[in-house]
Amino acid sequence: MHTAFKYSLKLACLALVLCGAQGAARAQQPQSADVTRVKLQMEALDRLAARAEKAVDVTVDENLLGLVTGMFRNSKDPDKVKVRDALAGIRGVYVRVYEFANDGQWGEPDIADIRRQVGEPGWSRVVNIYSKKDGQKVEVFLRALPGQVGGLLVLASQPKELMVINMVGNVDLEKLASLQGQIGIPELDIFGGGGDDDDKDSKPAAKPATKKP
Amino acid sequence: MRSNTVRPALLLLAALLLAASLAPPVGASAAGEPEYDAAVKLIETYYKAKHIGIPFIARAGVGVAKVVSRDVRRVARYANARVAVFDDHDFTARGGGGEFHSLLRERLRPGRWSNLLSVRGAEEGQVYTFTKADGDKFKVLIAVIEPRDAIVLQLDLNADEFAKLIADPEAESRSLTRDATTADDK
Repeated sequence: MHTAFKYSLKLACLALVLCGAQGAARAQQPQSADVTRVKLQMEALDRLAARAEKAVDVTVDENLLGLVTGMFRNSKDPDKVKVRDALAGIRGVYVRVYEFANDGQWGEPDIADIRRQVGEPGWSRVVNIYSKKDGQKVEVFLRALPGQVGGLLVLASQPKELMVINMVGNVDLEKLASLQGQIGIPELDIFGGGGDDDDKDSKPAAKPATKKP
Repeated sequence: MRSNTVRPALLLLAALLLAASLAPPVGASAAGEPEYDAAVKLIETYYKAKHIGIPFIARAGVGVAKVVSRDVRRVARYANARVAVFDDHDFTARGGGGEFHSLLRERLRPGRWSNLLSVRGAEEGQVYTFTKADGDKFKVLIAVIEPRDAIVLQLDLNADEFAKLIADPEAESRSLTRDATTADDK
């Protein structure tokens, strides 16, 4: 993924911390009845695959997560322990990445259905970064209500790329950081590392969280 | 995967056949996976292509070949490998693969396979990876369809190998199919 894009993602995640979303995300153990409301329906994105130069769809559902945590249950390997702990409480990870050959091959109407879903009560947009210079946009939506299933949506885009990450369960920044590079989640460079030199001109601005009822 | 991988693939298949002839009789647990056969059949019917490899093994009365050849030791890391190779055929004739993916998911649903990964690229072709648990092992079925070649691979992974697949599904799926169709010269 483009370094500038990564940088924006990093900023998005840092902004997530500033917004205090981490604490809010530590909701109580989720109830299964809410899962369907937090697992976003992404079928509307399918039509993008026909236009994209490359379309990637990674689905790690609850069954698969159960297998992964199960096989790491007795592991002493620090890396596996880290992943196992990060997956605790996660009920699903769904990643879609679309890369396009030209500008204008995707647009807001293509993600309107996703926006509609996170516009429902319980969801909040906690991060909204836009870089006019290169058209990068990163939005993070969070659903964290006490006693209900938590959820996270990352919408990260550039004119020629769209990435949608939906995580279901007890999600917080720490988990997101621990899972980068795992189960299909791209490297987000959340902690440390800093941006590359060519990113220094990027000046995205984070907006404060907009809580919805 | 390129056409020049086909010759090593044929060598591998020959090694598989030899290994199969030396392997003990196949028990009930080694019976062929119907979903694997369905995936192969789907490529044959959808793209009107013929695969190589499986008929030889089938005629030898072996559902699962246990690979023991040193020449294919990389594949031997995995158990119960089954490979079907489709060589030198136009797999671009029916578009980007959306319909094929739907049909493949439908074929694998009865076996309760989870669709871990799908990749559809204009140049890179299609990659579909399905998984399911089988005791202490993990069954993986991968279909790679490129403009001129296609491969269907089913194999069992242990926990460590499966963890690699989960960590980076696309890279590891391609790596597994590459391993399965490339004989090691050492």
